[in-house]
Amino acid sequence: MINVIKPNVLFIAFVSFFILLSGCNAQEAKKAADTQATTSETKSGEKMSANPVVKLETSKGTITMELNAEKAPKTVANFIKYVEDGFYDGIIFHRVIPNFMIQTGGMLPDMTEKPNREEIMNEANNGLKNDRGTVAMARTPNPHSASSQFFINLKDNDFLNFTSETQAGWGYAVFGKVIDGMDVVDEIAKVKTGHHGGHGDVPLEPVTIIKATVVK
Amino acid sequence: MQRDTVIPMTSPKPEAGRRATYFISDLHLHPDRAELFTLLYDFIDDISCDAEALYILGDLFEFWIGDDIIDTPTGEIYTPLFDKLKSLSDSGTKLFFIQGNRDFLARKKFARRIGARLLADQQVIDLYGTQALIMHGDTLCTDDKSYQRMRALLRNRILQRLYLMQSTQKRQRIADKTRQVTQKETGVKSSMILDVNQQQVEKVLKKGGMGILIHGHTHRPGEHQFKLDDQSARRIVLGDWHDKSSYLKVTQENGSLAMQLVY
Repeated sequence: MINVIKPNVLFIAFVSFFILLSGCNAQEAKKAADTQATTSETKSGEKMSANPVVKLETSKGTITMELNAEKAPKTVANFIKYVEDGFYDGIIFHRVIPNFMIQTGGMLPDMTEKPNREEIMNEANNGLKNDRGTVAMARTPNPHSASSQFFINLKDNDFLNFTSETQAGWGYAVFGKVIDGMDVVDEIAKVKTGHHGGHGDVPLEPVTIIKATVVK
Repeated sequence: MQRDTVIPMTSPKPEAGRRATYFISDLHLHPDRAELFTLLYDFIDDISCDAEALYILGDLFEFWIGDDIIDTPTGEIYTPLFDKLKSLSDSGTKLFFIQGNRDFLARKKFARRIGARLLADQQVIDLYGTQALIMHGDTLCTDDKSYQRMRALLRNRILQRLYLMQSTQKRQRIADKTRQVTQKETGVKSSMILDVNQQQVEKVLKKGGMGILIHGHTHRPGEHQFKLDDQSARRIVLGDWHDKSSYLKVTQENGSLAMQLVY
């Protein structure tokens, strides 16, 4: 990674006070794993299926997710638009925590954040639980701050479920589940992680979404 | 800094039902880790009825860039949490805070905001009649000489003042860069250096004449029992938080201390 920082004497003075080592690791993007040729049709403009299916072709394999438009209409519509816009193509899994979840949907391999659209309402009060294999929206501590980032639960994360419409109780909106490729999810969960670009739990070798498509 | 004042346990007549003292540390709260806020809110709710005291032994934040962000747009992500901690304090739970190596800039304004008392780096407390020494724990890792050198720099008040004069954006960039470098360093240092030095542990306990030490920082939770001049001594290490909370709960049972470490 190349740091692009304007020369600034005071900044450099501070950094030299506070750091003992310098330099950073160069990260090489992993070449794509072999992917099956698929004929996928994007259905933009057509009426969305009640349960859209989205395929994520990642550098570790393919993950197929079925979305629940009935229980999370705003979240699914928002997500499908990101998929159809090609937003997720080239994005990395930037936060991987074993026995918890793997998160993606917002960072490029150099850890810069892709500019996303406006935030959406939290739909965690839809009865769906953050069980193993479910897909949910990531957000900040503000309950209604989700936009493009999402995560896949590696176990039943009960504490993420909605309990009340309060700051503390809103929870994380589940809007789909993995129907194929959970083994790929588990493989991603095993990668070595470290600190990179100001964030922790970052895979040392980038795991990327090569292409995300709506298949149904 | 070290002070010899002992923090008394409770007021003479604690409220009925409040009979537990809790210790937490190393949450490393950061806006990217929204789930940690959820865990902390749940924890505060869970302890609100029976906690007569809550000690936060440092690294509550992944990095705290200065008290001036409190209740401003830069720090608004923490406002609900601060409100919740203040409510806990107002409801009768005594809150105490010791600075960690990530939030050593959380000072009086922060402590006041959450209704807590700011303690010295190493503090003796009275736990239901037994004296215990509490601290964040980074000062015990004396084998990590490069860290101890950096700590001396970071705790230098003149340097801190210079840092706090910078804009919040610049301070955040410095913080991010420092974290990046120290994480890389941590990755190459051996596990022996990164843990506490036993001689240092015994030295601080002997100096105060105590048999209990509670700390965090190493992210290696557990209880260690050893002999100190033929007396039994205990060192309890708090765990860091990921997808569940970690805490020490101390109560008095039949005249002696009951300690429950959860991680």
